[in-house]
Order: sequence, then structure tokens, then C-alpha cells
Amino acid sequence: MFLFCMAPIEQKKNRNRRLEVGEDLIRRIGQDDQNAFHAFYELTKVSVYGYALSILKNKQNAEDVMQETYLKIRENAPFYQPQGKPMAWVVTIAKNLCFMKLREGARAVPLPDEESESIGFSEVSETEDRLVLEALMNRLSDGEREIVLLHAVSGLKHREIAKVLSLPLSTVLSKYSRAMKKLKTGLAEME
Amino acid sequence: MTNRELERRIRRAVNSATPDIYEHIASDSAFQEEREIGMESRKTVKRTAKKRGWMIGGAAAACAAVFIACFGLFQLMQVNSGAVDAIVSIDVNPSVELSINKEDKVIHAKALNADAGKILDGMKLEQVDLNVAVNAIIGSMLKYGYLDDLANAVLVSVENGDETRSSALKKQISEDIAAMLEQNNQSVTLLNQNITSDEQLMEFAKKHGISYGKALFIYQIAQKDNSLVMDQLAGMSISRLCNLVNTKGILLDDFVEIDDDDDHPLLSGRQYIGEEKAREIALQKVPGATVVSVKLDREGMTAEYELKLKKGQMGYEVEIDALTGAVTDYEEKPVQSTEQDDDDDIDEPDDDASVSAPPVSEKLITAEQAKAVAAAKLPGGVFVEFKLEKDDGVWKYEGEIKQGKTEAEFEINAQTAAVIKWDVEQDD
Repeated sequence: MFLFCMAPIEQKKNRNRRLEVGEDLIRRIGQDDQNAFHAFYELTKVSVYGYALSILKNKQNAEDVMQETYLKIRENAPFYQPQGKPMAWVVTIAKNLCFMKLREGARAVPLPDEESESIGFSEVSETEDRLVLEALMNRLSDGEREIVLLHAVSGLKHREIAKVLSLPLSTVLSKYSRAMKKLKTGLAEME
Repeated sequence: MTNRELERRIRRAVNSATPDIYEHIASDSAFQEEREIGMESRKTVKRTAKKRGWMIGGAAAACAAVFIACFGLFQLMQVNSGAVDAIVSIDVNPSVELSINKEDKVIHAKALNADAGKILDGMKLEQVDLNVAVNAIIGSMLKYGYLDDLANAVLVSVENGDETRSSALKKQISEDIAAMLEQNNQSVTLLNQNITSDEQLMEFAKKHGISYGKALFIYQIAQKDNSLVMDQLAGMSISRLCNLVNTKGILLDDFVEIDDDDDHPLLSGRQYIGEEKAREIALQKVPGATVVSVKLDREGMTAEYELKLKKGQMGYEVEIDALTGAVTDYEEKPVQSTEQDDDDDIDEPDDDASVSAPPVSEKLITAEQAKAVAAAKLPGGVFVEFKLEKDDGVWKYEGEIKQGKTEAEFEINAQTAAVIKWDVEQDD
């Protein structure tokens, strides 16, 4: 896939791997350019889904939010103000939708065993990937998972994460390094 | 395993779990459907908003509006239609800019940031009366939770060359907002001053997705306290800014002419006792303890400071009414020996953070010292940006400082305090 072929090349020239989402794409989406929308989707889908999953911890809800996020992006693209941070814009939209989903969920009566059910990834064929996903979901606190996903998958800098989540940079840094340690320990145990 | 490697594994794993939904979102029908739902929910917005507005009024939430009237700035705005008579911007956290004509009809509504895009959400405000538009915008802000009894400050800036016209507009908008919130105790703060055109501030506003009025407001706040950096303030809501201003002891009166001719509640946040006072009260309750955390939170419809304290092996939780300072809840329990975790922010980055925290072993000058170096080169300057970065193995404080029409980009070696870079730019 696009995104991951790009990453290693970028990594060489730049220590910080950045997700290259051109603002031009958003401008073109604003003009109802279907190709731009498709390209944008391919570039960002893993970030959007991963982020939603990190907050909602439910695959169906994450998929719903993913869908709503892209519709919202399409709708709001004409209003987009170039700020050099299209990914932060996408994340903010996804974040708001996730919270709306959580609020809806809070109103609905939860099924008795829904709460305790831990999330599994039996559909993922690679054992290693499955282990990583399970470690992410079960070993990290919500806040840690959110930060790890935003940095590792969406390519946001810690500074940008701090801004998007309204947290002090130092908190983001310490949570991130703690989360990475937890994951390493978790994976070592599982493997 | 290195962090880099782990990150790669995470990316691959999440990638393999991501479903493909492009078909669902690509069809025009899906798009249309969403739009219609959007319209439907907007009809409900008005109803709920009205109700909430009333509730908030009832809770004596004291919605404060800060008005800035910018005179003489108007000609600077890029206006493509000769019919535009004034520009009104509304900042809460969403920033909206309305261009209006002489008949008080909206010619153009512009969302300045993503939050505002959500607020406007395809609303058709063109050719709508200003009061209707303000109602719809404030209603939408209420619906999405940008305005409530904790976050309740609105910055309204009016840009027009004529003072009488600006005052009339300011009055009209203030009445609209007051009506919308169904309450009559509203404080209005007015800033009357001649503003010289400032392209750097315009650019700053554009870059951060805020109105020129908010950029100006921030610039004036940062001027008062040079521990504040403008680009950090830009992302804060007006309520947070008002609270910050209070905790820093900055008087808005210094640059804002406060209109307090009757018993208006004061600016948002000012009616709260403040974090410092809350600490004091908590420490009276538990003498000799250390405050671990302070949080302003909501309990039902009242705002409360929640404090966590520690003394020896005991932990304490104190809740204090933010308005009256009364202790509403008090709990004590032994501190568990397990690592206190997760929900509390820890402000010290781990030493081994492979990310970008500087190792303790490297002696760096403090941010304050670095700021002093920059401020010495441009006295009276305001920090627009300021950060610590590692570049080619060297720790540097990098930033931007602005004084009047002069702006300088600088880099200061964080170990030697030497100025590595000093690029001055004049705005003319």
C-alpha cells in the first residue's frame, strides 16, 4: 500500500516520518474531485481507523466513525483553511465523531457482557500483527494508546499531538515512552 | 527491539486490521444522505439550543462576551465585493468570520478553523440577517458543547472604519447573544483603540485559524507576560484564555476598557475563586499536605475544583465549589503502594525517553534564560513561537519574537546560550 511504501524512503532522509497528505488534495476534494478524495482516503484510512479503534475499542463502532469521518471531510473540505497540518485536521474531525459515538453509547443500555468482552482480532491472519493489536488494545491505557497511534500510525509529531489533545508536551512524551515500554514487555511475554 | 522497529510493527498491524470502506463513502448517494441528516439535525439544533441556553442562564453561568472593536483596520481586509460594510468575527474556540453589508445581511460566512467548519456545517448564511446568523452560530456552538457553564466566553470583534457603526453593531450582536442565552446578566468588555495595520498578526491569525481580533487579543496578553508564547495561546479557547489571564494576574483592564457600569458578573472565570485560592482552602483542610493535582470540573451544573493531596501515607481528595469556595466533598484514604498511574498527568518526561526529551546529564540553560537572551536583543518583544529542539545533535531554543513591526527568528544554543541565528524582518 501507498502509505507504507513511502514511509521507509522518507525515513532515510528525515528522522521523523511524516504522512504526506497534501493540502492541495483537500482543496480538490472541496471542488468535488473524486480522484483526490480516493487518494486522500488511501493515504489516511489506516490513521483514521486506527485512531477511532484506539478510542472506541470496538471494531464496528470504529468502522462507523471511519465512514462518518470521510463524509465529514468531504463536506467540510470547502471550509478547510491551509495551516500546514492536514493530518491534525483529520484527527480533530475523527476525535469529535468518536466522542459523539461514546456519548451515544453512554445513553444506550449496554449489553450485560459487552463491557467485559475483550477485543479480539481473529480475522487478522498474521500472528505477529494479531499479537501487536492485542497488546495495543489490552496492555495500554486509553490515553497511551491514543498517543501511540497518533505518533506511530498517523505520523503526528509529539508537539502536534500535544496540541490536538490539549496536553502538555512533557505528558505526551512520558506517556509515549511508558507505552512503548509496556508494549515491548507485553510482546516479549506473549511471544 | 527499538522504538522505531516497534512503531513499524504497529503500523503494519493496524494496516492489516483496517477495513476497506471506500465504496460506502464514494457513492454520491452516501454523501447526499449525510447532508440530509445534517439538515435534519440542524433543525433540532435550534430547539435544543434554546432549551440549553435557558438552562445555562438558570444556572447563573454568566456567559461573558469580550468585545473588541477594531477601527481603522477595515481597509486592510481583503474584500472582494464592494458591498461588504463590516467584518464581524466570533471566537470561542471555533472562529467564524462574517462579512456583512450595510443592511446587516451576511454576504459571506467563513470558517477559520476546523471546529468552525463543524459549527457552520454547510449552513447557508449568505443573505441572512446578521441576528439570525449569530443565533444560528451560537446555537450550533451550544449544541456541539463549545459553550457551556465552564466554557462561556465569547470574543466578538467588529471591524469597520466608522465608530458609530461599529458601536451599533457591537450593541446589536451583544443583544443577540444575550437573547440567545436567555439571560440578561452579561458582561461586555469593550476595547476601543486605534489599531495600526499589522500584517504579521494577520499572517499569524491565518496560520492558526483564528480571527484577527483573537490574534490581537493574544498579542496583548503575551505582551503582559513573557512566559506566554503566542502560538500556544492561539489554540486555547477564549474561556481558557480568560482563566489563564486570571491565574497569571494579568488585568484585562490594561488593554481592554471594561464596561462594568452595573452589576454584571465579571469576565468568565473571574467569578471562580481560582486555582491558587482552591489550593489554599484545601491546605487549610489538610495542613502540611502537598497538592498532587488540581482540576476544574463540573458536578451537575456547578463547577468545582477537584484537588488531590498527599501527606505521608495518606491521600486526600477535596472538592471545592468554584464559585463560593465551600468544601463540598472530602475523602481520605491510604496511598496504595502500587504505582500511581495513567489518569494523572506526570509532568516529567522519563529520562530514557528515546523521543526528544533532553537527557538530564546535558546541562542546558533554562527557557527563561534563553528568553532573556532573545529579549535583550529586541526589548519589549513578544514571543510568537518558542521551543526546545535538537538539531544535528545540538540542543537549541528556537523561536520567533515580535516587537511592533519588527519580527525576528532566532536560535539560541541551549548549552552555551550563544545566539546561533538572528533573522530580522520588518513589516512595511
